[in-house]
Amino acid sequence: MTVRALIVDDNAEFLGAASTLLEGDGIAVVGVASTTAEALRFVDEHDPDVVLVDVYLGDESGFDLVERLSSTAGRQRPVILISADLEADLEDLIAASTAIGFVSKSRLSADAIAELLDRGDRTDGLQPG
Amino acid sequence: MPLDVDDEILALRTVLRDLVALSAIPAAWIGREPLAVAGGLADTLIGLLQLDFVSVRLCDPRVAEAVEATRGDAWNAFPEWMERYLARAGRLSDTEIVPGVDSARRCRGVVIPVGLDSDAGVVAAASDRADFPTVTDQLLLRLATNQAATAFQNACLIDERARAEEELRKARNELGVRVAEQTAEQSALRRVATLVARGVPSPEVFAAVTKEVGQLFSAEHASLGCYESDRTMTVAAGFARSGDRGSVGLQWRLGGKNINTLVFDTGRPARIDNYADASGALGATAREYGLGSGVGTPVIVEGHLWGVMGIYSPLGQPLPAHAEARLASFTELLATAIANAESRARLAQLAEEQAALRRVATLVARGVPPEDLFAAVVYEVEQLLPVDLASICRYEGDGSITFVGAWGKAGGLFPVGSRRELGRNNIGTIVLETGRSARIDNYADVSSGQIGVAARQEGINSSIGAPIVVEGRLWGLIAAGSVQKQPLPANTEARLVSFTELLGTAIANAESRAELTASRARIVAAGDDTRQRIERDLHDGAQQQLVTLELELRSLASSIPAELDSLHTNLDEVALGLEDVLDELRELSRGIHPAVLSTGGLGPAVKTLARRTPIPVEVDVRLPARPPERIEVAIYYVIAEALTNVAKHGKASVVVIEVEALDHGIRVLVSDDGIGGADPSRGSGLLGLRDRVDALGARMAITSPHGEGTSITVHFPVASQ
Repeated sequence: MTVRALIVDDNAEFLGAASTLLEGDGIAVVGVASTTAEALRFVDEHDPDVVLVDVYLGDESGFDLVERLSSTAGRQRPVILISADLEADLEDLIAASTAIGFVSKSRLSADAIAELLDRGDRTDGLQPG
Repeated sequence: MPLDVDDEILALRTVLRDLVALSAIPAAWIGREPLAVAGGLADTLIGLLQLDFVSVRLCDPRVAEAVEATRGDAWNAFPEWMERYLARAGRLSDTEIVPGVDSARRCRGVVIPVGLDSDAGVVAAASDRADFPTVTDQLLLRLATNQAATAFQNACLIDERARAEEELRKARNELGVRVAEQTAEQSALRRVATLVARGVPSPEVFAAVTKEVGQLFSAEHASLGCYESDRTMTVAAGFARSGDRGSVGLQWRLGGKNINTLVFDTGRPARIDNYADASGALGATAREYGLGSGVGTPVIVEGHLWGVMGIYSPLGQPLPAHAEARLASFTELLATAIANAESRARLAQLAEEQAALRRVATLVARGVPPEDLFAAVVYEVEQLLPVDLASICRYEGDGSITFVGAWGKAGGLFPVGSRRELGRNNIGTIVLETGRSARIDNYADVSSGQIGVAARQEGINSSIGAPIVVEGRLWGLIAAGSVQKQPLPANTEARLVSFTELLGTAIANAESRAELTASRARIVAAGDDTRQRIERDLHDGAQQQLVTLELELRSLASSIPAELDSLHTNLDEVALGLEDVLDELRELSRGIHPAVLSTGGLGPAVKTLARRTPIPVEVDVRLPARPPERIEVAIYYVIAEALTNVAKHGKASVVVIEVEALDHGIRVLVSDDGIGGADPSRGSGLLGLRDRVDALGARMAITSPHGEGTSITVHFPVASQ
């Protein structure tokens, strides 16, 4: 089954390039959003399988959006943090959030996403709620 | 006839005998008084010549009174006859015979002048002998008279000499008395002078002088009074022969006819010889005390009339004529004592003032915080001046003042930090309007406005203020007040001036320093803002673009058929190249501004730093909340720089980082166990840290002894929110 993904980033060019890449890689990018409000609305309406959230959403914090996403809907929705920065720089913040993981934007690929999703499935139920 | 010759010889012998007797008169009468001489002559004549009457009158032109002796009691009108005769005859130049001297015309008289024109006297004799006066009688009378005159002169001379001796003795006695008086006076003066020289406090000197004066003059009462400005006199010391009248400290209103008022009005010595008509409170009281006369001399200290010393004697015993002059010696000594005491007091005051100013100046030089300086100045002012409250106020621009220093009563009335409205009649308003020192001496009557009313309720009666000028503009004032009825001394405002000048300097310094610190902080902040902007721009701009570019490249690469191997490889290389650029950009970004700090705060940011350091780092960040941004950034850079140094030079095996919150501040510690010897002046990194730290008012301490590692501690003050 194709994974349906929502990408949230404040940079339009990146959204375009990322969508092209992931689509080419076999992931269905069902939507893009630039702000928290847009993202929440889309998630409500379209219920994607995974949400990719940029750490820096302009004035807004991607981490905040991550927490809000995980508190909606009955089930845990996998959220993956993305950033132009390296994971090492954001390690603690990522560990503290409810995102299932982090992918560097330059390493963005369907495989990276799938790997995180698998890990997430296997440890489902043991995630901090 | 032989009988006549015998008779004549007998008569001659008699005469000779009489002559001899008479010539003995002077010798016999040596040393006798003039009256005795006259009496002796009269007795001799009566006996010798068998006279019925004789009157001898001898006089010495130098002596006022003549002496007179009359003998013979048969007819007691003889002296009257002689007076009448002498009055009628005037001056006699020669013997005169008067045929009938008495009414019965039985006696014949002889009047003989003594001396030239009878100026030495007259001898008159009368007898009822038929042949009186015979030639012999006349001869004998004349001779006797001359002898008597001589004897009389001698007697007069002797008398005179005796009188002169008596006068000499009297004069010597008087001199003796005077000398004794002088000696007593000198001793008294010497005793008083000793007290003055020893610097005994004035009340003792006053009492001592008054007592000496009282005793020296044997006065009934003596008193030293000090004149006050409102025509009153306060008794400084008193002496009473009949015991203490307890008058010290009493205040008298001057006026009327009495010694103390006279001296006050004229500034010269005064004397009243009869208090019966004295007036005024003082005069009436003197009469009550039974005082009869008084003398007072002014006490003049350095040109101004300080008071009066008065001595009084009982009724009926006027004081001696030279009392004023003698009293003056004592009042002069007294004036010296007072002048000395006043000089010493002035010197002591000056010394105290200098010490206080020096203490304040030291604080100013040390650059203590303004609140501490204000408190110190207010304290010194209150100790130095006779005031009950002192305060320092700052003029706000809107017609109000803030109390920035307060002591004594002011502490309760106007606590530090309180604000009051200006306006109406009070010191703060007057100084603001005139820009000069001000004084209100009857606060109770005239003050008004918020401050005036409050002060009045506290009992403030006299108040002064001096302006504080900072770099040419009126900044505020020092105000001080007293609850005493007497106004504050005239020089009090002037004594405040030195303090206001010190304060002006200190405030100017503090304001400069504050401005300097603020501008440094602004510079640092501007730098940080710029860095953050650059980092944002880099991230949002170049980084994003590169990332996007890389994704597009990878998309492109995946759409190329697998057979075009070399194209794949090339594209992969390009992608790697892009990654390298991205890495460099990230590195650059991190150095400019760590994004993770803004997002996550110090905890994650420091942990990231730790991870990037090749040496093991123990991180302990304990902050209850994120500190203000500037401080957060500063803490981050301190740690970053410290870690860089350790990595470069330290040769350490472990680094410990602690960030913890204290009361009013945050303590940051970075310490390693390396080789030490860090020198802040040799690496620009630590120097730049100092600038950043100073700009925030923080304190940095670097301890780096050789061989014992390096430890950097910074204490950031954080204002309570």
